[in-house]
Order: sequence, then C-alpha cells, then structure tokens
Amino acid sequence: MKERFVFGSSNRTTGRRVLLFATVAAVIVLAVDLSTHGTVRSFVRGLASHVWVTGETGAQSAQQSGFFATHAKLARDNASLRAELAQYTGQAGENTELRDENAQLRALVNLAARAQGVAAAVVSSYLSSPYGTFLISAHAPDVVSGDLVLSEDGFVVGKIADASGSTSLVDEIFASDSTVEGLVSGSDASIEGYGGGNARAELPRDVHVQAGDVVIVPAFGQRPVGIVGKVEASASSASQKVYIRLPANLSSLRYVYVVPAR
Amino acid sequence: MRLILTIIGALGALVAPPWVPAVCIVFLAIRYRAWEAIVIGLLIDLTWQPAADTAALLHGLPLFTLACIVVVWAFEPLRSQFLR
Repeated sequence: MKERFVFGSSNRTTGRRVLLFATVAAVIVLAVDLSTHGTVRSFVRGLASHVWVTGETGAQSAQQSGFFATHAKLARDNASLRAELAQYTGQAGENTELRDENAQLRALVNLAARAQGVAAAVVSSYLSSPYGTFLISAHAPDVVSGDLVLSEDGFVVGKIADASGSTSLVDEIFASDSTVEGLVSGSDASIEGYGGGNARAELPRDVHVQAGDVVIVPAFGQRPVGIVGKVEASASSASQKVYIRLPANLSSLRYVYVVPAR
Repeated sequence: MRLILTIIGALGALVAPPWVPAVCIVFLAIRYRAWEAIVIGLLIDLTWQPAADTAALLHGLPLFTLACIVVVWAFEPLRSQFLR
C-alpha cells in the first residue's frame, strides 16, 4: 500500500514537472516569435495551410468517389444557390453605388482606374479562427501589411495583418470588436464589426438610410465595405441602428484580390 | 482517449470552429495533466492571431495560450484529489 502511494506521488510530481516545462516552453516559443518578428508564426501558418489544402483535396476526392453522393448533391445545390444570391446582391450593391455617384455628382470611386493588385487563393477556413482572421496564399513582397483584400465584387473584406512566410494572414474588416470609420448614405458613421461579415452603426434618425445602400470607407480609397441589410428606428430614440453586411459569403470565398491601401 | 482528444484538438485548431479545440482542451485539462492542451492553445494563437505589433493591445495577447495555461493549472488541485 505504501509502495503504491509512493508510486502515485512520484507520478504526480513527474506530471507536474512536465506541465511546468510545457508552460515555460510555451512562453519561450512566444518570446522567440516576438523577438524574431513572427518567424515561428509563419512556419506554423505554412503547416496549417498545407493541412487545410490536403484536407480539402481529400474531401473533394471523397465526394467525387460517390460515397457521399446524396449529401454532396445537396451541398452543391446549396453552395450554388448561396453563390448566386451573393453575386446578385453584390451586383445590386454596385449598381446602387454607381447610381448614387451619378446623382450626387461626386467621384467617390473610380472603378475603371483601380490599382493593380495580386490575386490569391484562400487557404483556410474563416470559421476556424477565433480572432476573425483567415489565410491566403499571397506573401511578401507581393503583398505587405495593410494592403486591402477585396472580394470578387470589389468589396473590401479585410486587411493584410501579416505578410511573412508562404502565406499571409488577413484580418477581417468586420471582425469582432473592430471599428472602422465609414460613410453610410453620405453620413459619417463609426462601424462596429460583429464578425462573419456583419457590422452595426448608429446614425442620427434624420439621415435617410434604406436597405441596399452601399457603405464606403474613405480611408480605403472610397471602396465599398458592405451594404445596409436592415435599419431599425424608434420614435423614442434620436438615433437609428443600421445593420451592415458583406454581400460576399466569407466562408465560401475561394479567391481574393489584394490591392495596395492607397 | 488522451491521444484522440489531442489529435481532434490539434486538427480542430486548424480546420474546425474554435469551440472544437476549446472543448478538447477543457476535457484534457480535467482528465489529465495534459501538456498537449497548452500546445493546442499555442497552435491556435500562432496560426490565427496577428503579430503583436500589427494589432491592438488586446488582440496582441495570446489569449488561447494564456487561457490554456490557466485552465490546466486551475484543475491541478482537482486532479490531485481524484487522480492516481
């Protein structure tokens, strides 16, 4: 009995030592990463993108083998309908934006003279990140921190946060707790991100806003960042809540376009 | 079971929603003196978090790693009481 107790106690001590070692090692890894400007991060992200691409390829092979035929068909139909909806919404947003420009005689954005950029594949799932980020295949020197990441409709979906290694980390423009200053129906607004391509802003009640209005950010070269999805106004309040969303479905983004911020 | 939870947690850190590795971390921390939980937390932060100098102060903190360290050590008295 005494021997078993001694063995258990020794095992416990060893376990604690290993735990303490892991804790110290984690702190050292973070310190090394910080002092080397993200070398460890870029290595880990390279591995992560390989895992994602391998998994995606495996999943596609499994689907094409016919094993999941029924589910695959439903998923394809669903994805197709979602993509179609996102495309139409994006086109409607662009049309609204162009109409506003002509009506107000303001050169908010010149779509024809867009800056040259780099196309990149999305190599991670947006849903996996707890920080509202995702990985793309572009890397320095093609892209640098602060560059804008656009969807195929020309809407800004994020900014390059880290551009080292073989992949770049993109910070979603409407990530949780993020704030960006934009123009909603010509009125200045502080737009608070809620993640998943959703955001909210508060405007004075006398500003005329309606669903479908395009939200632009002057700091991003007058580029659109989202469209108004819903407006909530109350007679007892001096302000109205404007719910904004990206027309693109972030989780189905396959390719993005990266342009310089200015 | 420990190995399975570790594999699910590590893969989940890269391809699954954040609650998947979080659940694995908590289970590992409750049941074992799991250094793997700290590694999974570190993996999440290194993969998904922008570097400290490019983000706001709150985003610069490796929240998952810190949470894992806290959880793993917070359950130590419980494990000492019940585990042999």
